[in-house]
Amino acid sequence: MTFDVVYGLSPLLVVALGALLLMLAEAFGKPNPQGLAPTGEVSDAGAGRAGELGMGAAVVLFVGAALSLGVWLAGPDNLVGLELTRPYLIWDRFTVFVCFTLCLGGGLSCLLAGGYLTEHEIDRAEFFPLVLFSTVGAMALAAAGELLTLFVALETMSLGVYALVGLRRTPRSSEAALKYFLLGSFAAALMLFGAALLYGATGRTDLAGIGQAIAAIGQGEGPGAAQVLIALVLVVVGLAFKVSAVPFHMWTPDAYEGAPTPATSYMAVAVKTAAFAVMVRVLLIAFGDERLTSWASGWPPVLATLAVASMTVANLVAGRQSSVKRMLAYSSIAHAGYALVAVVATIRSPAAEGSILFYLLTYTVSTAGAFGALILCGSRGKEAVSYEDLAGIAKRHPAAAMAFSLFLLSLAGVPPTAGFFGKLYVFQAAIDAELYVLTVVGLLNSLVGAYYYLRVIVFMYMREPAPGATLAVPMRSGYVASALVIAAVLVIALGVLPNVTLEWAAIATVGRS
Amino acid sequence: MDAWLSNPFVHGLVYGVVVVTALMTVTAWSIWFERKFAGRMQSRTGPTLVGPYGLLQPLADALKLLQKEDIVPKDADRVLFNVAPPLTVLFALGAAAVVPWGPEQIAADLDVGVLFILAMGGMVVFPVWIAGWASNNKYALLGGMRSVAQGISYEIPLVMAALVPVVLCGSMSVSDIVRFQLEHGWLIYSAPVVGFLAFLLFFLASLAEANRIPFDIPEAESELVAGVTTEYTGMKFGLFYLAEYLHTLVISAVASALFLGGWGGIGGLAPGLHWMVLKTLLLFGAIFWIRWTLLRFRADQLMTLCWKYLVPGGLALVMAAAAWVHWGAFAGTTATPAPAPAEQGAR
Amino acid sequence: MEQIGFGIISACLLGAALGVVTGKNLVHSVLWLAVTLVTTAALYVFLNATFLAGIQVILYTGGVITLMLFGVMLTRRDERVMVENEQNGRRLWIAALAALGLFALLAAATFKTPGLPRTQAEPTTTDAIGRAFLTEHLLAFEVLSLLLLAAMVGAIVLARRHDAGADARGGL
Repeated sequence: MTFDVVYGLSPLLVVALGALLLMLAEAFGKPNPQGLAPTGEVSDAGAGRAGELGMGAAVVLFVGAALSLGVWLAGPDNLVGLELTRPYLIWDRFTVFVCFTLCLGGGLSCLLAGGYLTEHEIDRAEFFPLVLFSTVGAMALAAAGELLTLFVALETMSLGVYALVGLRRTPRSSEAALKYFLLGSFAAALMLFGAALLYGATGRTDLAGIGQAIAAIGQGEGPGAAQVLIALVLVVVGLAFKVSAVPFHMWTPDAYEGAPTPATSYMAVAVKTAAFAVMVRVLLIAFGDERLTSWASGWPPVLATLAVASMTVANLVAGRQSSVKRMLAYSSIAHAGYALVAVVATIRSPAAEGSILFYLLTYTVSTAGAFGALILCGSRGKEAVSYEDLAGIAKRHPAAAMAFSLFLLSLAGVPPTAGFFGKLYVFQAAIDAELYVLTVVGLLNSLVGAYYYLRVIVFMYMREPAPGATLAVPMRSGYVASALVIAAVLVIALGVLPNVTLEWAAIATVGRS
Repeated sequence: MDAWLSNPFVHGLVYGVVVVTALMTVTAWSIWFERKFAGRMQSRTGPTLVGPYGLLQPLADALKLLQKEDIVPKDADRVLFNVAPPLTVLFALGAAAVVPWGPEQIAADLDVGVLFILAMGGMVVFPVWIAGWASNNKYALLGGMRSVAQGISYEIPLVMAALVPVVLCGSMSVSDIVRFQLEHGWLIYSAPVVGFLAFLLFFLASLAEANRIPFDIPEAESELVAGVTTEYTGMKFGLFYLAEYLHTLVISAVASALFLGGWGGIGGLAPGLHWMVLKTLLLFGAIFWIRWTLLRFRADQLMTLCWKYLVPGGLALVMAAAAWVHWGAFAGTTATPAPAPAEQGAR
Repeated sequence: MEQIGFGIISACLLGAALGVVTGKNLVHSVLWLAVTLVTTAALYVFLNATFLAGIQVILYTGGVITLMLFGVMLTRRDERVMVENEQNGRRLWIAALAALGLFALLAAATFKTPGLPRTQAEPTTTDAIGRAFLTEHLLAFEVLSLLLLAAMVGAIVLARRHDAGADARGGL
């Protein structure tokens, strides 16, 4: 019994424990004189150890991913003791799959940070405990089956990330952190308000109980429906902020651009993944009532509008950016749009949940890889951010250019990369659910999206840097390189052999009633 | 009479008036006492001129303060400047509402009395800060900032120290805590080490909350002229002066109730009220003793003491108290068994 | 009796809240906010949630507001902190309308919800709250401790200067 719980929750526990240990190591470890800034200032005990701590954090997270895999193989349903954690944490296959994705995304980001922080002399090894804390929150969020746990997990995830964004102390970084923090708190407040209304209307805090209560309201033509609808709107808006769907995306480009790139990568993959997981669970379990999942009187039209707006606006604006980092930010908004299509499809297609999970996995490896390649293209004093910085990088650093191209192709959805199958299954689910308009809009948007992804590749391979321009010298870092190798292998493996993963994703459902 | 008094509203009103009047009177003469006390410690005689043994000195002081001109600085924030002094007295007195002076002599027997005391303690920094800010004087401002920094820092060990009796006695009501001590002995000896250390911690942190030496850096007359009270004159200054002594008196009473067995006496020699007053006055005197013996801390030493020693120490104490209760160290009071496990699912 | 008390406290609450949003002086706004929070605590007492009321005062008034005041002091320049709280007529009307609309919507939804308790709630004992934390909501409670830790680490990361050790004595 106890073993079941400990083993089942082991991904969560290992990451939490790792976070505490890393925090102590950071605080009490010996500074490394070689890794210090040239001025030789020792600002804290973990100074100059970003690389090692990053490696440690990545190892912890990859162990977490491996344990998720182990739990998957053992089958969370077979671990009877896990019933104990219900309804607070629902540890089903859906959760475990998301945990795997989260740990993977977090681990890649930590590896990137191990190289990035050292190279850019950001003496802030607290990055790693923060990422781990945030990942614990994200995993709990993905598993949350109860409003209180959900909110606490959401805040745990967000707080770490707020600090990560402001890590660099440049005005731009601070601005990004402030914007993200203010809008994030606002979104959290909206969600909390929605949760309070839900509790008021139904008298319950567990999602399943709320679902039942709402269904009861539906049968009795109850007048409480108004309160439930307001709560639904508030919760959806709050979650839309977190997945950065248009029109709640305003903070995204600034926050993504101002944050140190590994933090951006973490935000783009982990935060979004967890937010989508909880969105699916809340919508299907708590708001899974027949009337609320119908086109006439429920959330599908709202989410469909969000999806169309996210895809269209983000893709159109992304093409006009001059900063690659900003372009990737808009790209992440567009990807939120594609995933939202799949969320809408869950109302009629049983395969849609699996397609979301698979999509999030492919998105995670591609995005983390793309940001990693962007990191690799710049070095101390001159980060590669604009298209011009990347001009002719193929000659200066062929490997980086090649990796970048691979991830961009995957993001664009070109076969045989992971991104292709991710999109394919999402659209398949959409067709399955008879959402033809959404599918067509999504396909058209993929075409538009291909333009700006390919534009980067064109700059890398076919342009020469403007004469006299300061060139971004690609950096060398084993950490970043290994992260890219892992991501690249996964992108190709998921693209060539998607079957196993897809089958696994297909059986990972939230178990709606 | 009794039935009429048992109406909580009337009861609260009556005892409130009695307690406030008594505290005010004691406070006034405690100033005389302190001056005498300090005088003896420094081989002086203290006040002797007004009345026998200078006993009427407090009245003379009050008369003097009332006659002074009431000055409000030109650029001061007039409203806040005037609001601050009475607020100081209010919050200093507030905690007295839940202090039991005897089995029945309590103005408001709240079931969350300890929380109320802590809340009042937390609010005390407000008027001090307001006074500092509204005076538009740099020394006053510095004093206000120091008071805020000190207040929020020392509130943490204060809360932890106050949690120890709560954990040991299993109640947040001050009178319940006293009754528990009547049954099991005063906490400073019935829970050896833990109770005693918690008492010391509570006492120290309370001194800091009340801005008494050695924690009086918000006032620090050698560095900041007179800190937050720099711009105040007449009775407004008098109110600050009064509030400081009142607060000291109230925390002595709270500490006696929480740790020293409240109205419980030795051998039933006298009614409970006498014992409570005696304990309070003894602690009160101890504070004067400390004041005239120790030096003031420097601002950074104050913070170091709080964050590096008192806060971790307080955490350890709370855990020790929990362990003490868990292993049933008080005869006949093992940890209350949990009720039948709640039904799965949220309510 | 209770109705009157509720009315008085609510009026104070609304007045203080108005003071927060209309105040032209940042410090006054913060102090009004403190009044708002204390009166909210008084409302909790009316709901028989005395523990919550105490915690509200300790945490929000004693902790959060105090820190806000401290923040205001640290950002204070030579002049008194004044925020340009623009109050042109049209915006005021729009804001008032939006607030009223939201209020009407929420009030309507609340009144239409069946099964809301119409009488005063049973007092919740501190004991029950503690037990709920350590049994039912243990997981959330543990995650919460991580949240606080993360917040602390994050705050230190953001607050620490690059050139640490410059003046260990601090500036107070």
